[in-house]
Amino acid sequence: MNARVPVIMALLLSCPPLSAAAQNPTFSSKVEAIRVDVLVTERGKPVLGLGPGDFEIFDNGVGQQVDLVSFDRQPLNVILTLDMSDSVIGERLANLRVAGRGVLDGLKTGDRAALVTFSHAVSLGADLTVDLARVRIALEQTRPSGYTSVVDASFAGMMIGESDAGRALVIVFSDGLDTSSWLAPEAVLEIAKRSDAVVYAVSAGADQDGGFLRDLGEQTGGRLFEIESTSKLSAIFVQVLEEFRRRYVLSYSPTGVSADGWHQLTVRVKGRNATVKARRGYLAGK
Amino acid sequence: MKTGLAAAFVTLALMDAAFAQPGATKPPGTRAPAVQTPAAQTAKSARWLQNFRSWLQAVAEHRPGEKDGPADRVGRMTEGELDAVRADLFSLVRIHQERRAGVVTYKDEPFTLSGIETLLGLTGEAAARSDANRVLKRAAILHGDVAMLVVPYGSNPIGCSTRLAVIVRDGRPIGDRCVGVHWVMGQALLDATRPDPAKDPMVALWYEATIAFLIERRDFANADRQIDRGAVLFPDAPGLLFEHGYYHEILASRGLQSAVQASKTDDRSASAHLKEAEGLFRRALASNPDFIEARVHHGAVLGALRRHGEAADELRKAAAAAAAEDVVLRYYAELFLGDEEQALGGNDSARAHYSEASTLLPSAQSPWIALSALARRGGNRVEALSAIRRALDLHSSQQDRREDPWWEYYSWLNQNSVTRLRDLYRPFVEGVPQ
Repeated sequence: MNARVPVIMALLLSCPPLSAAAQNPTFSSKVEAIRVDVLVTERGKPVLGLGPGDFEIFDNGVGQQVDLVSFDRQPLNVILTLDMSDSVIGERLANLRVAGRGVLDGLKTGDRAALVTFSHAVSLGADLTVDLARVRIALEQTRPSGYTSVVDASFAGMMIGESDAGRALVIVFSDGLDTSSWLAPEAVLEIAKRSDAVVYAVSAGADQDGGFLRDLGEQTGGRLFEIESTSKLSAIFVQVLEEFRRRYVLSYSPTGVSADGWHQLTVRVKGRNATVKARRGYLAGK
Repeated sequence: MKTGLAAAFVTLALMDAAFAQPGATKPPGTRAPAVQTPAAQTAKSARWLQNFRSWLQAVAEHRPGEKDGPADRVGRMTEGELDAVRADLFSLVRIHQERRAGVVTYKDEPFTLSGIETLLGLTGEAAARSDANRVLKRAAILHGDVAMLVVPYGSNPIGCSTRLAVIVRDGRPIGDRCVGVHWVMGQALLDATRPDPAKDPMVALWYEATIAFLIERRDFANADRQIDRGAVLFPDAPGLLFEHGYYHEILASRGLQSAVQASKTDDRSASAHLKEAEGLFRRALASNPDFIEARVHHGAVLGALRRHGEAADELRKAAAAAAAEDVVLRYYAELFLGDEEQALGGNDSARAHYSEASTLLPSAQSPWIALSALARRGGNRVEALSAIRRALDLHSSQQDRREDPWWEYYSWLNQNSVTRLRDLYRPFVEGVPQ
């Protein structure tokens, strides 16, 4: 596994899902609360117990007032987005199923899960539900075949994640290069700038280019795990879930910044030498 | 496209060994024919002659397009045996053309003109002209059939010297194998047809049909070889120009570029391949402006080169000119046009074209994914979610690739190999003189 980024902090932005107003924030006349999903670490370990006064957020360089901080209170929406192309067979398929079950076992009451699978086609094995047994059954029923549309599937995973107001974690697993997506990687990365979902990706196999998944992880505040073998896939999936649970969800109302366009974000923790890795920003308006 | 596991295999040329072109250079193993007296003749049939007769028998007995006994026998021949057979055939044809009197000894075997005619099946005018076209063409078809039907992919039953190809699966190189010697045999045999293979419609059809087959099977190592020779013989044939352009378009595709670069088989970038494809499609259209499939691909390649205005124009022409029954071509044109309109800032028009693609093929997933992404980029989450749900509702995990032609775009030909091969075989099956 590649652990070049030992400490991760993610920043998740959220407008109210499916809200028409959220599509066009007008910060000067109508303040929209921006939700920010954050992980803070020191020496590789999560920093716990922080409050609103401990954070500084700069939106396009303009300091913002942090209104609210919550930690491990909001239910999660976990979207397993799993490669079921020809190459996911035998032990690799078995390990993937074990890893998926591990994530489902780690969910708490109120958390929801969905299963998106992909080969050349993208399929919704199970829509977001608190009925995790349904997702488990769908996971067992998946059968590999065909090419790899990881770009289309990542987009679909993010869209399913956005379909609910909960915190969306998209876990993408793929062992191949994209061979059949309609969408271009650049288009999905552009859309990710607007998305609430945080994408963690696991890319298995030697000599592969994890470029798209790496960029998607960084864009959304998640990260990419590159592995040679799937033998420890379950541990990685569980690690992703635990890491996601240890994030703070901050909220602020942007002031003094334009309503549209790209908003560069900087998040700091006051008075500590904490490592903060956040998504780079968000795209507002049309 | 093949179904099952093998469908994800493609091959890329890594190395290539030059085969002697008949008529241009002397095949290896050829001895200069010498005139000898009948006393020097030997009654004992040498092993080479037995092999040669056996091969000729297979050529005569093979039913075009079938995996039959003769094809299986030829498929078991070694590369050395095939080299020798080819050299012997060309030598005997040359001896016949020289029309020397008496008996000519070749490889210690005595031959008369009539003996060669009998051996090669030359009769009537063909014998008078030393025209071995019939056996050459039938043999080319046999070797093409052996390559397509007998020699299994991923193995090399006849030994491999320097001809290698990288096997790519799921976009990643996973090994290598030999490039098919039977394709080289077919080329060499057809190159020897008279008076000029470059003016022979059967030869042109053999290249078009076999290249179509190889592209559909994503066997680019052998397609590369066929395309190169076909381009030399028929530089202005629209069908071959199209296939050549398609080959470059495929090599520029996302799914192959990583493998191409990783295998170090090709140092050309995707952009270089796209430019090559654009020029070839343009030439195909110059030869045949009604070539709708070439126009669709030309538009797609122009779009990939970010020449969006030209791309949109070309795709509009293609969509308008495509016949009602050419649903897949119209689908491609509308789908690509959606992307081009989007790139040009015409989101409403893009939506209309994606929707039209979806109307043409309601079971296709790509238009709905495109509509969802278009809506999401425009900030409309409701429409984006609705469209992605439509896309996901369409498909189970066992989705048939044929339901969305986009998944087949890099291996689909409007006039596919089955049709072309049927046209190629028909005269031979019906006994029409060649």
